[in-house]
Parts: sequence; C-alpha cells; structure tokens
Amino acid sequence: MTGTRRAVPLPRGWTLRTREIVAVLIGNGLLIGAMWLRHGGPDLLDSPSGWFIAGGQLTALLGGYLALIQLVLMSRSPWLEQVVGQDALTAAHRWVGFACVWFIVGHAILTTTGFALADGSNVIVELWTLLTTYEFMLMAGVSLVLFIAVAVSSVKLARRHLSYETWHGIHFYAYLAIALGLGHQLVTGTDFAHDPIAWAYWVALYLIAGATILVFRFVQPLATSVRHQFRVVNVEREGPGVVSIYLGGRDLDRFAIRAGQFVIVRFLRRDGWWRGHPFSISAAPNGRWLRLTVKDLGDDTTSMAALPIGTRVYLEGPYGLLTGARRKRRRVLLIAGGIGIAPLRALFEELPAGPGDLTLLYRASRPKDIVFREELDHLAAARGAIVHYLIGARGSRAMPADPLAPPALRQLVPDVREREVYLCGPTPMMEAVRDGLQLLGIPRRHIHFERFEF
Amino acid sequence: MPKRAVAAIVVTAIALALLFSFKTPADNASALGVPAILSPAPDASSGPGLGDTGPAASTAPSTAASLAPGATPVPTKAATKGSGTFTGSVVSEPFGEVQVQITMSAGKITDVTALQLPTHGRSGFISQSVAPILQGEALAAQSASIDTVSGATYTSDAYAQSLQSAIDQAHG
Repeated sequence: MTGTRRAVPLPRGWTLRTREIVAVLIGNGLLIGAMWLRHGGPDLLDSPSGWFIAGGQLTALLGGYLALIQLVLMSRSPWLEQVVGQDALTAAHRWVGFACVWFIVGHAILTTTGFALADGSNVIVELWTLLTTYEFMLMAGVSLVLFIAVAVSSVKLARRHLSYETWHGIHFYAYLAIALGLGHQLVTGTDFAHDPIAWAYWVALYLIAGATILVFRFVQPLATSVRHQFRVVNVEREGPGVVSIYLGGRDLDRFAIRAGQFVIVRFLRRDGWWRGHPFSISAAPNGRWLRLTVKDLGDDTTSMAALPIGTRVYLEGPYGLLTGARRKRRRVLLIAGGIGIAPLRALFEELPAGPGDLTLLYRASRPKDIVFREELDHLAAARGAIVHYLIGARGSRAMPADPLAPPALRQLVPDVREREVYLCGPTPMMEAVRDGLQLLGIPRRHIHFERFEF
Repeated sequence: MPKRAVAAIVVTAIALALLFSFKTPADNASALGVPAILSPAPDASSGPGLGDTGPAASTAPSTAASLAPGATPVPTKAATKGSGTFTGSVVSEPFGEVQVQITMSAGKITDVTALQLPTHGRSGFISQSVAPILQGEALAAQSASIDTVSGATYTSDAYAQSLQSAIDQAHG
C-alpha cells in the first residue's frame, strides 16, 4: 500500500442489493395484477370478445408498467448503476424495451378486436371509431406508432443502416410515446377510470419514474456542471488519433470521482454541443484537473484536437463500476486493448498496491499506437508494478499467437489465478479474454470490465 | 445543431399542436355545455309517441321546459297518475347514452327496460351485461336508489338518473 491520501472524495456508495430492486419491481407487478383481478378482469372471460378484451387489458397494464421501468433503467441513477452494473442495465433495457413494445402492440390488437367482436363490427371500423371518438385515443394511436418506430429502429438489421445519431434521435420519441399514452389509460382504462385509488397509484408510478429521469438525468448533471464550472484547460496529442483533454473547474477537490470511471461531456460551443461523449478519465483524480483521453473515432471527435482552450463543458457523471471499489483481492491484473488503456491508466495510478501486486498488460497493433508509455514506465518504476507491452497485429510475424490466450497469460502472469482482473478494450477482445480467464479458473466475480459502446 | 434534428423538432412540435387540437365529439359537446348527442332521443320518442296517442304531444313541451339541461324527458304516454309507460331522460355517460323506460301499474314499477345503452366496445360490453342487474335492482327497490354495479359506475349512475326522471314523470 502506498498510503497516499485521496485528493478527492469518493462517490457515494449505495448499499441496495439487486434482489431488493427486483423485489420492488415484482411487487408492483403483482399489485398491478391484483388491481386487474379486483376490477373484475376474470369476469370478462365468459365470452370470446371478453377473452380478447381481458388480454388487451393485461397487455396494456404490463406494457405500460414496462415502459415506466424503461424510464428508470435509463435514468443513469447511480444507485441502480452501482448495484446492477452498466452492462446488465443495457441488456435489461434492450429486453424490457422490446417486451414493452410487443405488449403495447398486443394490447392495441387485442382490445380493438375484442371491441369489434362485442359490437359486431369489423376491426377497421372499430379502430376508426376508437381513434376518433374516444378521448385521448388518437394520442394513444400516435404513441403506439412512435413505440413501434423506436423498436424497429433498434433491431440489429436497422441499426446497421442507421447512424448512431439517427437511432438516438428516434429513441427520444420514446419519451413522447410514454407521455402520449397516459391520457387514454387514465380516462378510458377500465382499471383507472372508475377507481380513484388505482388511478392515484398509476399516476404515482408515472411521477416516480418521471422524477427519477428528471433528477438523475437532468437536475443532478446541471447542478454538478453549474457548481464546478468545467472548462477545457489544455488539449494534448498523445499519439496518432489519440487526444487528451484536460478539464479544470471550481472546487474540483470536491468533485467525487474515482479512477476507472467515465463522464459524459458536452462541449458548449456552436457546433457539437448537442452531442454527449462518454469519455474515461485517464489519470487518478487529483483535485485540480481531470484528464479525459479519447480516440478520434471520426465525426466530431476528429476536431477534439482543435478544441479551443476555455470551452465550457457540461458534464454528466461520474458513471462506471470499473473501480477499486469492486476489488476483493490484493493482487491486481489490468488488461488494456488499444484506447481501453485510458481508464486502466488511471487505475494503474490510483489502486493501492505494494511492489509486485500490480501488473498491466497493454495490447496494441503498432508500436506508435501505444500511448502514455513514459507515464506508465514511470508509474511502474515508482510503484514496483509491472507493465508488459504486447505489440503486433494478430497473426503477424511479431505476434504469431494471441498473447492474451490462457496459456500465454499464465506465462506472463504466473499468479493470474489469484488476481483481481480489470479489462478494457474492444468488445470482442474483452469477451475473448474474459472467457479465457474463466477457463483458467478465475471466478466471474473477480473479472471486471465495461463496454464502451452505448 | 444538425439541420435534420432541427427539422425533426419543428415537425414534431407542429404534429403535437395538431394532435392536441383534435377534439373527440364528446369533448366538443361538453366544451360547449351542450348535452352530448341528444338527437336520437326526440326521434326515438316522437315517432311512436306522436302517432300513438294524443297526450304525449301536449305533455312533452311542458316537461321539457322544466328540465335541467342535459336531460331531456320524453314521455311516450302520459296516462293517469301512477300507471302507464314513462320514458326517462337521455343521460350521457362517457361512453354513450343511457335511457330507460318504466312501466307502472297502480303506482308500482312493473317493468324497466333500457331503451339506450352504450353500445360501443368495452363499455357497451359492460353495460349490456349489467343492464339485467340494474333492472332487477330497480324492480326490487321500486325507486332510483339502486346500488352501483362495480366496474360499471358510469352506466349505473346514468341508469339511475334516467330512471329517476321516468319516475318523476309518473308521479307527475
């Protein structure tokens, strides 16, 4: 242990457990189911049209509930992220999102068909009557179309043809879809129109989900940005297409962040202010500045090098779990691929470690792609840590075998099985290395990684 | 901001404005303070009413004048006090209109039939199924103080109102 005092406070830790969150979600689901029973849902099941209508009600309740869960999942709430993890959240968002839209589509089809059967009219006529004569139903129809658009734009095939910006832009319409759907639920929804308690409960669920998004997605980042007045104080080229941006600000020694985390920054200039960039901090927080190191991925990241000094920065975060908080073992192995070095460079500096406790493997295709070489060598020497640079295109003469395959790993780091492992790099590389580590017998709970893509 | 994003925001705002300016027929009616869709009522009553017996034509205007807006009484037959057939006012509820007709004999309600019930979709579905329950309650209570059928509050309330107006006429 180096025994250095932290320069900045630690982000607040949450003691919630996954099962507590799951219990609340399931509990509310059951409550909603009970509400449907109390309102005589099963009584509908005595006729064919009733079956459709009952199905329409259940899919409506579930779809609406899942839409609210989506809001909470996307709120970037630290309590949720810290407990569940970014990866699990992203996976959950995808599953819940598609399920939600399927339920809502099912609701529209079942309810319209059920009404048509009950009225003895045809489905098209019934749909038209519903949309034009029922209060808020036209809005609900628009909401349905928006939900479908969001889902369709998110299937893998569509994602390949859409730019990130277009897909992201379409995704914003999900908020509108949720808002437009509320009116018809409260006014014509069998479960709410006649029952003040159910009505109040449903509205409360909307308010809680809405407040979660508002507070964690907007109010908190705004308060952070206003308080600390982040600005670009320096920009440096680290290597080909890799740039470090130094942020200064007010009271940075009170900004709670730790190595391994990332922030989402918006540079407040005429072009590009609307785009949020998830950037990792690449140096341990020191209370005076934050360093973000990014790869020029095209788009306007290419102009990062030309970012004017003094540019104001709107900052959301910190986010991310790739931190020392999850370390349960004394010895640590950091494995970086390409620009994945950024958060690991910060951990390499910050993680308390005695001589020999800390090893970094840094994989790159070309020697010139290695960044922070001087810093890393200097830190390694000062801390008694080890750095291995693994350079060479895969399969080339310099690198005939995968240096991160299990046998190679064991040769490089003989005690790899006793280490806490942090991974950061391209997703395929992280997945391959994770599998290899598990083959070596390292339990999943000692392997930490986060995907960079959002 | 990118031009496409600006265009998307403008189009969305216009679309939303149009969407919010859309009013359902029920909205229009209630916004104007006019009872919703009352046209079927005069048709339903004046047809058989006029051709049937004389007194209907003479009683209708006077009763109508005394009624609060939103309820139009349409007695089909003004018989002697306490017996005959009396048609209650058309009461609109969120999903349609309710109108009941009672048959009285010597001051006693012998039959209650629903002339109009919401026929649309789920609501119609519910109303049709609760009508027999409400009818039974009315016959048992011999008045409009009937219990609300859970899950069909609007229909029950409207049914009771229409029933009350029919009884009022009977007691003339």
